[in-house]
Amino acid sequence: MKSATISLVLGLLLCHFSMEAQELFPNTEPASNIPKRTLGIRLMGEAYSEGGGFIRNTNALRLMYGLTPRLSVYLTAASSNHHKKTLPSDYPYHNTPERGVFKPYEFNGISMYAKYRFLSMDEEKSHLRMAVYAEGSAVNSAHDEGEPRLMDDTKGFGFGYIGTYLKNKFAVSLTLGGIFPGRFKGEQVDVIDGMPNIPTTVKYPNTLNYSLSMGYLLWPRSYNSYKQTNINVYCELMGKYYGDTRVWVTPAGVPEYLVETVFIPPALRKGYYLDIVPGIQFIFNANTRVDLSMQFQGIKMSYARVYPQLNFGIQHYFYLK
Amino acid sequence: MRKYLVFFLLFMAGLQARAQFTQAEVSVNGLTCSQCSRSVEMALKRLDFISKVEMELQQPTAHIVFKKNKAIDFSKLAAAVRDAGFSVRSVKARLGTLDNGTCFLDNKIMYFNAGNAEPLKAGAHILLLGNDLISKTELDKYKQQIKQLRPVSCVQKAQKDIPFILLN
Repeated sequence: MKSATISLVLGLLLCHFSMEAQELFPNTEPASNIPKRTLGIRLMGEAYSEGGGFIRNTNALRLMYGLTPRLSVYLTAASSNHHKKTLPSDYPYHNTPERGVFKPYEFNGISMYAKYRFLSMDEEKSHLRMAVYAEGSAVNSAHDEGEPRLMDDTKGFGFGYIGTYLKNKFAVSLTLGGIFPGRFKGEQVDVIDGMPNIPTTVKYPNTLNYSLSMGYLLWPRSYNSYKQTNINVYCELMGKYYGDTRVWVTPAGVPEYLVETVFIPPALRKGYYLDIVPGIQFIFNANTRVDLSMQFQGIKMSYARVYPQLNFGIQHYFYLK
Repeated sequence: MRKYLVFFLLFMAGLQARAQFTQAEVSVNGLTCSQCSRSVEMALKRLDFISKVEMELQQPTAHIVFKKNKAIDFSKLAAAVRDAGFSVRSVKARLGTLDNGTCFLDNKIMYFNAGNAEPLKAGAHILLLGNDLISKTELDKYKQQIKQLRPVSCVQKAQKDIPFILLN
């Protein structure tokens, strides 16, 4: 509780200093698009410590392309050491989330995202833009927490709305979306040695994701060359609201049954949270972008990570002929 | 008969004031980042009639030099800015050689002075007010300055008209 309070205070303090960037948010998408016939390549990473020397990390390679000035499409391949081949034993009753155990670093799968900008109100040095997005994922990991994420944890689809306002050096953006994850059908190792694995099906909850991102251009104070390194500071408030996870198990000799909610741990129950994510960004030669941000616990908590989480991104645009 | 036709065509060509755009300034709305300016620059550089683009970053404006003897299409230029994700606030162009007149045909497009009847001169700067170039909101800002439609003296057939006002 004490560490949560310290994280909250630290996060808010960092955000306070970074209140005043641009809309190139490190962790969320703006309503603006990738320019037409431009290929963006982004490498992303997240890392947090579970204690005992266990560092969990997720990495992803994202290809982004501007199909039209209003429509951008993304293809993301993700890998992580967040999942084993099987769910934890005694799932879902105990050991969820499973911390401090070895999990192999593996490829998680591919996801797609498309964003369409339907409104642009451009003025000199300002704009208001709105977009809708849809995403789908073919990821099929043995994800043991309830909270879904299409990039690396669960299959499924999602869609949502983005509104971004930019004025001079300040930008603010709101995202509201739904995630409709599919089921994971797999197995868990029986707690009794020698017994066969237990077929287990998990239906991750439908989820509302929300974020409010703010950014400010810190440097340069005045543009005169592409060679000037840009420094943007950001503060993002990101969270999700999700329902109960449902789990069906089929132990040997017993028909499949749904585990009642009262027996499932908090990480699989209905919940919500809001993280505070201050960040800094460097843009070199008006193209290569490096993002660094730290995700702190704000309101409630996500069971899909241990705070604080370090987020990293590097991105470059290739303007095709 | 053929001789008369040749004379007729030469006569028509003589009526038509010839213009050659040499440079343009395209101001861009909706951006404040240098990466955005670069995206506009790269989109403009794809056009085959542009020889050089220099972006003014602080007041996002593209300073464009056109290639000589290439057909210039300002609507493609505006579309390139939109392709980069932004919109055009204004298009100012500088005329090269020009016969006196209040209108001229270039690349099958009729450009006419909508501000006054003052004859054009070589080197004049004009502000183009085509509705496929700049948004309706920007066009409305110049409503007061538009005094006339295409003058009756500009009789040539054209694929489309672009009104302009003289800047100097």
